[in-house]
Amino acid sequence: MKREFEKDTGVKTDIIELNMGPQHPSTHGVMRIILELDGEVIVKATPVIGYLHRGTEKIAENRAYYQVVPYTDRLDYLSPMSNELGYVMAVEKLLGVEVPLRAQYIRVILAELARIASHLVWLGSNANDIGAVTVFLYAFREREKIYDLLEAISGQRMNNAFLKIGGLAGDLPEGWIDGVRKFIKEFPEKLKDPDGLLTKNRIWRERTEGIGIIPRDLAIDLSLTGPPLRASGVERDLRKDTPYLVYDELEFDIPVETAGDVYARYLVRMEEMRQSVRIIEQAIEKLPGGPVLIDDYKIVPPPKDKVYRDIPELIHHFKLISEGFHPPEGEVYFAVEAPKGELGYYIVSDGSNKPYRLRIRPPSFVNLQALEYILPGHLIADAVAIIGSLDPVFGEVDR
Amino acid sequence: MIRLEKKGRNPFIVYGEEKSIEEQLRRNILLTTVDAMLKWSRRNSLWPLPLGLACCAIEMMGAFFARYDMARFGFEVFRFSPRQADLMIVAGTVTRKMAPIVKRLYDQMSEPKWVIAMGACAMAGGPYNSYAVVQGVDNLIPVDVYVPGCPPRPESLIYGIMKLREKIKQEREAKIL
Amino acid sequence: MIGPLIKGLTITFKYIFKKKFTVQYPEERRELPPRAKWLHILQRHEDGKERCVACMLCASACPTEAIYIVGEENDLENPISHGERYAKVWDLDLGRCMFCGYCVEACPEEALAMTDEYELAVPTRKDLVLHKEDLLVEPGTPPVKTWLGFYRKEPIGAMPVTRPMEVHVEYEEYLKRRGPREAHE
Repeated sequence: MKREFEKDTGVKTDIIELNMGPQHPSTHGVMRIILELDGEVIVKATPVIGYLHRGTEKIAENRAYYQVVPYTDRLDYLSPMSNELGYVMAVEKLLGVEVPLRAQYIRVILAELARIASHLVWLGSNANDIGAVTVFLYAFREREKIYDLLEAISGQRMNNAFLKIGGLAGDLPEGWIDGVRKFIKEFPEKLKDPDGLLTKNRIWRERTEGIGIIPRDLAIDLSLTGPPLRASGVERDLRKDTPYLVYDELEFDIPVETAGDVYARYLVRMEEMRQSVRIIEQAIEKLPGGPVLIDDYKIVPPPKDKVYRDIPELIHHFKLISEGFHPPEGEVYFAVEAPKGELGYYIVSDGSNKPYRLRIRPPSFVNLQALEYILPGHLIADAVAIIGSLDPVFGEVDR
Repeated sequence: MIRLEKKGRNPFIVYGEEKSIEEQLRRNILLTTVDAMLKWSRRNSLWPLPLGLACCAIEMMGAFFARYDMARFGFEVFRFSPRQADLMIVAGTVTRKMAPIVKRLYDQMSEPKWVIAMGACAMAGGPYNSYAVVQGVDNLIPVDVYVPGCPPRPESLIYGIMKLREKIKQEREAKIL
Repeated sequence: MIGPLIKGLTITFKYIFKKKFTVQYPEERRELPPRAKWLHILQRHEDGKERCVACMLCASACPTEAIYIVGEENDLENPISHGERYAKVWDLDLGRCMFCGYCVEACPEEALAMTDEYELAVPTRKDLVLHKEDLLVEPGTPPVKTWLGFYRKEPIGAMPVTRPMEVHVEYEEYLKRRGPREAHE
């Protein structure tokens, strides 16, 4: 473009540098991208991250195992439950315990609710960046309903701190299952509104189709996970590949698209929300009775009524709260399919009550590196669509 | 805070009761009506600069959307450019890398300007007592209202803004420059 | 071009006649679920004595070190709590607290509870630190049922005092016989 212009007019032009972010409405947090522009076309893009580096991994080295759970909430703050799930399951793998079946089913329900909640924010913000503001309002209305459910079960709207190592903080409150039933019955209907506003909308399709294509090979080379990978034609989902919890007993499909563009990622996420509804439906049907915590008082605190009466239980309670438990020495890696992709926790234990090292493999961080490869060649206006479609969350990228 | 108010302590009374005539005369008599007018208009259409840095940004967005709809108070105009905003809502963790940018955004806002620190991280560093986090945004810029929570509910934020309105009402003289 | 526009407008116009989703917040305060985890309170026994015995469990359970306690031995004539010790200072730093509820889980005396009070805005950073007198309920306030002793089977009222009353009296008599403890014992 530059060369053509110079040839036509004889005027020499320069490549200009444009700084996008960190305070920019459509970088979805605090990311900075240095764009080198030739006219309106991006020649080179250099993402700069680290504006939200909070030292979570270092803090975790100074906390007992159970105290790290609230910190994991704040990684991918759009879906706290998925983060907690990955962490508590990694520690459970280290300890070699298995939680009761009822707790597993409830965890599946919570993780899928978190997936819907996370995708709703993506849907709203991505559409908002491209110009469809109404969708944001619809998406947040549905998200408020999920907040209500999470608040009823855990007492907080976000950052719930509800999952425990060894089970859940509590059983379901009365009427909660009916609330979920009502929500999943209404939700597919409500999802038709953004669907009707966007899917066949000509403006939306022209802004998204053929934009930000990640070819299949590039996606595999960059080890992308989650919706960006599945939109490029690779069927990989940890829920199917290495089933954890009770996902192998539930029926659901993995949506896969081959185009690899922004529109394909949109279609994949929309379908994932519908599949999550299917999973929740089945999980509610199959939900068994029984306890939600394991019985080992070395890992979970004993029931309070026993604490008040029996000295051994009181000692267990004191020891567990003030010191935590001591898992065996060793290393463990456990990954779950978070809404953004593979969320892995790698824990090194030296046998003390604190993790020797906690390394988090955040999906957004890995997915974000695709930006450098796919932004060049696009117009500036498309940059926001592409960033939005990768759905980065910076609490997780910078940790 | 309602609990403190019940115990007879309203932390938001910034200035004491007016006592003497001399003190009242010291204020600009001519401008008192203009003063009231200015304060009224300022406190009824605060345009926020949403500095959404982390988790609290989601709850801040929640406050602006369907259920809590801050447009009811005239606060709905999100201005991402600091030059058009007069209320800065710092929502989220301010890290050392982000600190110069926060300061610069504050400096770019035109007077009069107010700041709300939303959430534990912005107020005092919150759960992140680490090498990377600024322990409270008030180390960088003056803060008018602190809204505790991690993250605060949208109602908490609205309550905080209502308190800020009270504070603007109490200001002795509206700043003209 | 016109077709999609009309389709889009039908979807948005439909909402004019639907029930409003907005909560008129300051006038109408939504009832929070019973599990709500907001501002803490320090509870009292029915006889007006403080429940907190300064065992420090909440402070050590707190992931963010937001709680600061200084315990002191009870005066035998006029004890403040039922235990041997009571909390002379019980400070909560809202600038650190992340309302995870681990302190309430830890409390073995049901002294701590969380309420649904979320309107917490304050004007200065000094006000963020809440002291014992701010958090302590008035004598005679009915106990708050909290779910966070999550393994709890009984409602809070049915809970026995940590030490049954007769034993307690015996113990106090023993303490009287023994006399006050030396500071450096």
